[in-house]
Amino acid sequence: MSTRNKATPPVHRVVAAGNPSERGFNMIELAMAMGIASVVFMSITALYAYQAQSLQTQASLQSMHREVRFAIDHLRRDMVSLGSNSTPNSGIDDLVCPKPAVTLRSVGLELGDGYVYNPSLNPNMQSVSITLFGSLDIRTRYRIDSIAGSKVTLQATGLPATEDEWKQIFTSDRYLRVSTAEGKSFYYPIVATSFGDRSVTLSSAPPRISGSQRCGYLGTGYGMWADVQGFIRYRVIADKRPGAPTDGSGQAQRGLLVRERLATDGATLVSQIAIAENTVELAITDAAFDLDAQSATINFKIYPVQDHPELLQKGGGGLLGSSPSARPEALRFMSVRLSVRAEVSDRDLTHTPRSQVNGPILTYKLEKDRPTTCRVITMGTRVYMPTMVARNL
Amino acid sequence: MKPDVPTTALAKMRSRIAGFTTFWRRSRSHSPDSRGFSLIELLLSAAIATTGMYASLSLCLSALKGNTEMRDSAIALTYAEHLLSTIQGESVMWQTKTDSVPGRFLRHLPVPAATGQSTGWKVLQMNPFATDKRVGDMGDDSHLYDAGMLFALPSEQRPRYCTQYRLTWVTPDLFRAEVRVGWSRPHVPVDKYRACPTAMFDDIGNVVSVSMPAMVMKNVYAQ
Repeated sequence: MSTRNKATPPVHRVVAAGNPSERGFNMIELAMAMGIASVVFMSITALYAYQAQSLQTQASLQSMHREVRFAIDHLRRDMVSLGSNSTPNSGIDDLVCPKPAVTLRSVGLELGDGYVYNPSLNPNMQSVSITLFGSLDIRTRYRIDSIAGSKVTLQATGLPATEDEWKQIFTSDRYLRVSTAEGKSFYYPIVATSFGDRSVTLSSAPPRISGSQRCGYLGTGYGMWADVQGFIRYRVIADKRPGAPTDGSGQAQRGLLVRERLATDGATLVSQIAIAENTVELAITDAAFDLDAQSATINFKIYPVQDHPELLQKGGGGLLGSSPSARPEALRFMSVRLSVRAEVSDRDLTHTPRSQVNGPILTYKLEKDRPTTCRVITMGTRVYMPTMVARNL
Repeated sequence: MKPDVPTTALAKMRSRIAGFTTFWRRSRSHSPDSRGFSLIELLLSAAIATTGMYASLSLCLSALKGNTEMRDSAIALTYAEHLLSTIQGESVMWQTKTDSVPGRFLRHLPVPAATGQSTGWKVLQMNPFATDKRVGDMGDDSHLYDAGMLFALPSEQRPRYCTQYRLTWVTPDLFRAEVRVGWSRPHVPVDKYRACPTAMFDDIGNVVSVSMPAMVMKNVYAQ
């Protein structure tokens, strides 16, 4: 009979008693096994926690890259067509006749026109706004049937089939450009339209060519081309949409890159769509100009923005500004840069304030009293403008 | 007593199941000859658990690697696009039929132009004396085209991309530009492809790459 049935042995001996080949673990073995198992499980748990954090960081980086790539592509698509079917600068373009009341420039930049949350924590940020002009959304051209005063009637062929489509194209925030087969053109703001009689009413009556009047249209204008053109602006604004994050004082924490439609004055906002959330800065970095387009040899000059204040000045001055000294027609290519931050702060990152304007942006701080900061990624691209080369102004 | 001999297949199976059940009951019962788990059993269960955890971790790691690769590809594509725009931008200066076309890239075009003639793949390298020819996210051209860009995105932060380009004549006024950007996978020794040899782009087990073409036209408008 087994010894276990005779008396009650101490508990820690129960499993250890009996034939050595039949017994289980003793307390020391058990403690060691539990100790080893604990260490192994703690390591595995730590590894899982690290993996989870890495996955979160990766997801955040992925999201930032998606935002910035989409925004850069959007901007690039608009900029690459600048000057196409439009004028790089109506002020000096001999093909634009008569001149519009507002000088139309294919590109105009405004320095410092961008939202920065808490500039004391995030110093030296300086976004630009980029205003573009041209046939950026609607690239269809139509034939003119007649021009009478300020009313332009279009031929039926190729016109929008429905009134809804018509109203989306011929809007009062756009210009109607009328051009001849030789390439001469004039621009007038649209003030009213009628789908029923296929007419567009302009802000004033374009002149008819006769005698000393060398600008305008010939005869009834029959057969001339018409298309719509307008202003688009990219800039960084405070995100005040419902549900957007704010701090304790109600200030928007998020910068939003938007693409805005502007009225025919090039300044009044008509509508806007969000392009990239958590935008930190929109900037240009290098621009190449051919400032002497009539010269026999081309030797364009490249302006890195940090070394050439003549490129951009606050208040709209500079070669790429919106003042009369601007030379957008000489622009041949330009590099744009966009920085976006992570949605939430990372507790493992140390905030590195930007040391100088146009320098690297490593982090972006939201909470003043916490040792956390947001990761920032920056991406840039060069945009070559073939149609500006083709105009060679 | 002589045991019953199963005669049919079904009876054989029943007998085997009964035998196994008896064995299992004996081995798990609390009879005096019962015992705890053996070392083999413990090792086996530990090995199974470890394999499961390893598989799960491997899955996480491969997801991480996939994400990283996708992100690197997105950056490389942007960089390739940027470089092609640079070559296209350089073509603004290409206006006359001379023996040498100006510019960092276009001066390598074979002269005279002959359809199909190519520069072959050339490594893009700003410093001809450097043995490590890799560049950062936006290249290394801080002297000519990208001084502003690299002021904000210093290349020394992550020099990991090998860049090559090839220019091939299509007509005397037009050539095809190709840019390819490659980088080593994480398991490859850091120094293996620091010289960016052409052969690395064929080593698809160790190198990830993207490529992008564009047509570049002579500036006929300035003639």
